[in-house]
Amino acid sequence: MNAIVFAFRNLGRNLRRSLVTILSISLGFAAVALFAGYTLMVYKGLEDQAIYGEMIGHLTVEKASFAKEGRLSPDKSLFTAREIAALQAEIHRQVPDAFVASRLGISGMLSNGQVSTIFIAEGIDPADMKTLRGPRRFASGMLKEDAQNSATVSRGLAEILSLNEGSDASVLVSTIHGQANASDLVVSDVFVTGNAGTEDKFMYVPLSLARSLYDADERADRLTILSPSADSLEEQRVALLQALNGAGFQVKISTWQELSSFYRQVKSMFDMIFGFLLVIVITIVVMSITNAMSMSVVERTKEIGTLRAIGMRRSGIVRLFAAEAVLLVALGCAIGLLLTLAVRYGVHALDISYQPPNSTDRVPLLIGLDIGKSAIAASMLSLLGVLAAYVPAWRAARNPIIDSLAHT
Amino acid sequence: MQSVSPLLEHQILARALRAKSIVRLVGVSRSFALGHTTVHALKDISVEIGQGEMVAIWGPSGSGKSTLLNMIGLIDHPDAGAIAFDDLDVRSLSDDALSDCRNRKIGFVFQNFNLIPVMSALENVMLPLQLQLQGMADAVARRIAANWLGKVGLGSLMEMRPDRLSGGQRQRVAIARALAIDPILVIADEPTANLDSENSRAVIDLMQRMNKETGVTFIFSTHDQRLLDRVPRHLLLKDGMLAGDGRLGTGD
Repeated sequence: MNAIVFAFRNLGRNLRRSLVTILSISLGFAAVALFAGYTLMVYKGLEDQAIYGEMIGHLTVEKASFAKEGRLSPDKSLFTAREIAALQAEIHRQVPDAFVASRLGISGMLSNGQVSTIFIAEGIDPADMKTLRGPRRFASGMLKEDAQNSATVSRGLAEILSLNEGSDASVLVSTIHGQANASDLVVSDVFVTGNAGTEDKFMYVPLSLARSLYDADERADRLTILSPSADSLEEQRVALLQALNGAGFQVKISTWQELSSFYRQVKSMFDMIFGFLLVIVITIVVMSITNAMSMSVVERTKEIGTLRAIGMRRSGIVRLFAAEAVLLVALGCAIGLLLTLAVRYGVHALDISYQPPNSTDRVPLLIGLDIGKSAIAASMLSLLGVLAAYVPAWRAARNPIIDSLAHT
Repeated sequence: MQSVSPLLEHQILARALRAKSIVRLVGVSRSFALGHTTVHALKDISVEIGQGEMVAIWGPSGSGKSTLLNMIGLIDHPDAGAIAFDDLDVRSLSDDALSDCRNRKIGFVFQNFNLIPVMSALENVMLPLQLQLQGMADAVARRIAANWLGKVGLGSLMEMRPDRLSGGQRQRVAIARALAIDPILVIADEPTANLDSENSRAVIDLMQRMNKETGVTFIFSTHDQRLLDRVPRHLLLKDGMLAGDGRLGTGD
């Protein structure tokens, strides 16, 4: 008889016990799969927010000295026009279809004519912004290509200075040579940064305005790269760094994960919670399987004796119960997967939203399907399920046959 | 109790192996710990059983009948003495080798039938065939099993599970299971103990018929005096010792 059919029939011997065990596996698997699916969407959302929302891009190239000396010696830490051109050429040689944008960060005071407050701003070409924003290019905060002396202002900053779309404002910054420089600008849009840390001080300004304010014509403090193949960023970073160093550039290249500390912190926290959850769920489920298999082995001791007498090897007895454990886990995971899909559908249908920490707005509760983590959970459950069956089955298989046959 | 010296044991065993008997026990003893006391179930048993014999082991309860059958059936090990089974000194066999040996050469019929409850009669008979090391093809095993169920008169009940069969029918399934592997020996421990007299007679008739038709050696235990008259050779056990080895018509 087919081993699976035999295992299936044996599970039916004590249907209630088997169903309870399958239910515990299902619930455990669903809990793990749902949490993994939730974190998957959180990671995806944070990744999109970092790469496109904050326009960190995939890779960022800056002078090696920029982090330490950028404030003290901005003149030396910025790329010149010639360097930018050479870097872009080398980047395109290494990553042919990459998109490269020049960026210049500035900071200073923003005034509505009556009161002033500090600001930080990103200088970026409006056309480049469209590309860097990718799928988020229709969101608020986009710079207008035909308005060079304009800025988009974060909602918190706009509220501090009572600024609205169309409001006039003035900026005061210190140039790279240490002199004060000021300019008038028009608020072209108000947007939500999504981050409580930047909500009250952030702006986007056209790159030309940033360069003018900074007195840094044709210069940039970094180049942002959008790669066509985002799956191999580490390899691209290493190859690019080697090529740029070879071309005489002392630069530092960072991936978006390195630059987005919020993403790393959230991911680290959720990964740890997932680990705890997995351990707790697996412990409970394995205890349930162990209990079911141990009872099954004890109840079928006489049958084990019969099977051994008619020639089944000890390893055959172990395989028999291992097959039942695998079947229990397989059925449990299959039902757990259906449960996961049902809960996921329900959550999306109810359109539930929540406000994450450090966020300014509510976000929809989304649950994805993390095939990788779900597969890992199923594999671990199968492995430990087999182990849970192995121990009592091996002990029973080693029992003297006459003792097993005499068992009542 | 007279013990056998290791040298003599070796010589007797060597002769047995040369004689190619189905099974020979030489100075076999077996004891069990029961709480603080030791029960000597078998004491210095030496016996030889040849091919095609039909042997009844009888004696009162607790005389060691089942223990002796367990020794002959290679599901228990002696504390002392040696067993030669089909030209093999079983002491030299690993547990896997003993399993394979039982699977290929020994059929078992148990007092309580010991059929697998989740399998049909046909699947129960197929089971030892499918356990074989090379793994018999399903269709072949099915054909052999169906043939044997037909021979024991259960051709129309092949798909029934054991709980739908009477005691006599279950025991016939067990006999078919024992014979399906084409064994050289069938061991039956009190095969009629749980059957009424009519079914007991039918089961003994069946075993006798199979013994004659196939030439397979049958060894069974019983304490039912009525059945003994129909079996050519009797081994009488008393208090774990072989008290008699008689053959019908020999006056023993």
